[in-house]
Amino acid sequence: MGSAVLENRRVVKVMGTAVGVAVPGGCSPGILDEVFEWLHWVDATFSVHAPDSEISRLSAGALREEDCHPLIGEVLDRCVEMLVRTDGWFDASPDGPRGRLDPSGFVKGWSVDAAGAILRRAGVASYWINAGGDILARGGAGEGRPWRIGIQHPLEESSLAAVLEASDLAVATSGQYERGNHIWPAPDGIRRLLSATVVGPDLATADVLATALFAADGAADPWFGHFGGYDYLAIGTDRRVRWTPAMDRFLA
Amino acid sequence: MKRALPAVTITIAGLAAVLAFRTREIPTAVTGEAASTTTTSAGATTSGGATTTTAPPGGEVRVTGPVVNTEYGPVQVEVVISGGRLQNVIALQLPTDDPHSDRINARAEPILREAALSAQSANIDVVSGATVTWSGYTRSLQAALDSAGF
Repeated sequence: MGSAVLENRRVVKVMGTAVGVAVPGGCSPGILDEVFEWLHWVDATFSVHAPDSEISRLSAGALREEDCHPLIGEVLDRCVEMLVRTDGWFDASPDGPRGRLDPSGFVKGWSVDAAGAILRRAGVASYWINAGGDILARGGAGEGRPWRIGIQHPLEESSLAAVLEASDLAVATSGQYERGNHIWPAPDGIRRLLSATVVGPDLATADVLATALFAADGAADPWFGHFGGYDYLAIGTDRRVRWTPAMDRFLA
Repeated sequence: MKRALPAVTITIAGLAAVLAFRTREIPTAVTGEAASTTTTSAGATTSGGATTTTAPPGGEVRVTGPVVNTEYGPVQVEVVISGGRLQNVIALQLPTDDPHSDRINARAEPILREAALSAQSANIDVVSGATVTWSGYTRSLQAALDSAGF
């Protein structure tokens, strides 16, 4: 803060991926410093790959939950809530209740939402944050133009499968092509979905729903519909794109 | 009853959302309006501007973008324009400061290149589902394209 130098894009390697922030109107570098300090703190606290992170020590029984940072408990509660609300398809602790904890699938989107709040509080109305392909977009690209958000084609790296136009939207995509087999195989072994993109008001929920929808191989009924304000676009192994009708308003 | 009504409405809306799909064939490419107002990065840390290296009449134009310093290290691309179309993007420099960065680059470079080729014509701000952000890449790319008057 206090610096006269404006900056409008920055990319930082954090949380095992690349996180990019774009502010078309520019903002003080100090604001972006604050955003990335937050994300690095989240990484250090919630990384299941770092043995000395609070989440790892909690997982190993070396730390009690009441001795953890309060946000740990909040995140774990949200994970349990999401497990229930997705009919079990989003699971942060696959080996039992709070057994081996891996809230990573929730933490990324959640921390990006909070990063967006940092920008908003600093008076930044238009920005996008891209955390490894999961996007929180607010405001617009300038001059009344909405953001144009491409959806990666799951089979052809040279293509986009769709283009969305929106001012305020969170967009999360899950697919087998992302990081190998980090998501469950299809329930019956015959995969129907190549990728699932979920859009809605916040990225924490959109990311969880995309993960759950892909894990469920598109079996969204009825749990998905209970999340008001969220829509999806699913790309099938039959090369057909299916989307919920309310998605129409975003499709360019 | 007043309290039950929203729940019923939400359930019906939920069912409708799930049951009544729109569908279409997956496209092989999405193209849109020609890019004309793609946001450039005024705050980019660059060394030197883009430079056109060759411009034979009616032939291929190669433009080298500026070196953009990201937190991973320097990024620089070269674009190949021919027949009024962006034909290729070549990464001249990508950060390789540690093994993790190498891994990111191994996957990132082809995705960035191909996504740039398709997105450029569709004037895309950001891509969902690509594993890495392409901010640094697109900064050098955009400067090269601007320099080429593309």
